[in-house]
Amino acid sequence: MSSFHRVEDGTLYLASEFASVSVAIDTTGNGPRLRITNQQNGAAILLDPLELASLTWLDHERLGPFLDPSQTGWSSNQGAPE
Amino acid sequence: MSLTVDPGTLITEDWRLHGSVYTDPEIFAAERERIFGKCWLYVAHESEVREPGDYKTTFAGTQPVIVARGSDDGEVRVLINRCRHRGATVCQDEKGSANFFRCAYHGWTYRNNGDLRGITYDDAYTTLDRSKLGLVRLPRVDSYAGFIFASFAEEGPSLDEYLGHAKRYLDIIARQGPEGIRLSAGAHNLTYEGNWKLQVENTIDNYHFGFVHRSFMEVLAERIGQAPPIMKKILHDPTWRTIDLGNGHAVHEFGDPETGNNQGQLGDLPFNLIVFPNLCFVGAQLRHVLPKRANKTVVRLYPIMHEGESDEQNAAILRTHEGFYGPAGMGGPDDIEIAFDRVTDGMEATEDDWLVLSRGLERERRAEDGTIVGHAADEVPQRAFYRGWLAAMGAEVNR
Repeated sequence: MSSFHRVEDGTLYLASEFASVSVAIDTTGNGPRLRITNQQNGAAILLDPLELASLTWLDHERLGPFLDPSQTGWSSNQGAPE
Repeated sequence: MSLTVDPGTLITEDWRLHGSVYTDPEIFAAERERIFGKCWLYVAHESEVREPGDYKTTFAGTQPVIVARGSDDGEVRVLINRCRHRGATVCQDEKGSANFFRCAYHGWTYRNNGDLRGITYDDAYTTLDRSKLGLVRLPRVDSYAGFIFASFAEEGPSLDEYLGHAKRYLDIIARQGPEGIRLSAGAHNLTYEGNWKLQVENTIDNYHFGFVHRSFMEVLAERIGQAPPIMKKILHDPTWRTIDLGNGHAVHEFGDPETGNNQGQLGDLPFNLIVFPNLCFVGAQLRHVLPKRANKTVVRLYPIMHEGESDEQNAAILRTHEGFYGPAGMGGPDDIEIAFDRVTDGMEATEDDWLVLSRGLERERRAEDGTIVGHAADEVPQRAFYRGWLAAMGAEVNR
């Protein structure tokens, strides 16, 4: 089910029927970054402003490789992450 | 599939209808192929997939589909909701936003235009042609006045030709709000153990109103301090008309189709409309009839919200809708019990297995535009529906 909520520290939780993630500003380093955490397995990535700005150049077709499960979390070489 | 009975023999020239039309699984199987496999089928209103990436799950006739607006191109596609791997439905939510869909069974992942984007642990497939394993797209999708239709048939009449005289009424529905309409309130669903055609026929049957809905009429009389005008109008007002619009479509006008009102506190649409085979409008709702088996049907009722009107006004539309049609409403449950359950029970008796659909046959008249016009309480709409049914089932329509 789709859902969306925000907790007091500003972390956002977004879910669709396919995935569930949290999104928060990370300030543990010298500059701000966006932390995206997969709520299903705890995997996380920190994205800096240049990476985020570069994402805006993409359309969904070009994001496709990241959605190919064998190229990301479900490769026989890696085993199951979740 | 081949049908052992000629569908043309199931309706007599004097409009008697054989009971097996409602009960025979073989006829239902033929309907799946000849009607739902070929006609234009309503699937969504544009307001339900407004933004790129929006999707809705529903049924094109009997088959589960995803109506999705392309993430990058904004095009609306109708995709069969069945994973190409092992057949599970890929999307479950009634609506959502997703640029990619991932099947929960083994993780096969599709773009929302249907293309197969990836397979989990894909080193086990060395020769699979992924380009042929996208979600199946219905070959034809078109919309009219915001209503999206799709067809499994590669060829056939255009949507414009198919809707024909019904277009005028869809235009009026699309103008119900000052800035249009939206189906943002979602739907409530009902299921009954009976044939899908019972709901379509009942949607546009005025003859039953004073009988099935007698208790509602009594409540209405108390509310307004007099006998409700609706039954008198149905029986005696010549501007209240039933019309065979052709192609199986039919309307019941409450006077002027732009400004009429049922005067029954049922919702403010100025007419009831059926668009063959399974789209209906009544009260203030769009009614999507979903056949499951010969004797099982799901109906989704979508209250029509008005764009450009206040939340309070739209809330009033919902309250009126719930008052009659809701699960605890004063009308809908009576239709389910009497028009669906009791009819289905009665159909178990097959000694003289013929119904009578000839009400008003002698007094209907053909108008200059080819439509057939009759009195409000006559069975013109039922005959209109079955003329469309006969034609779609491959029978000669000479009645």
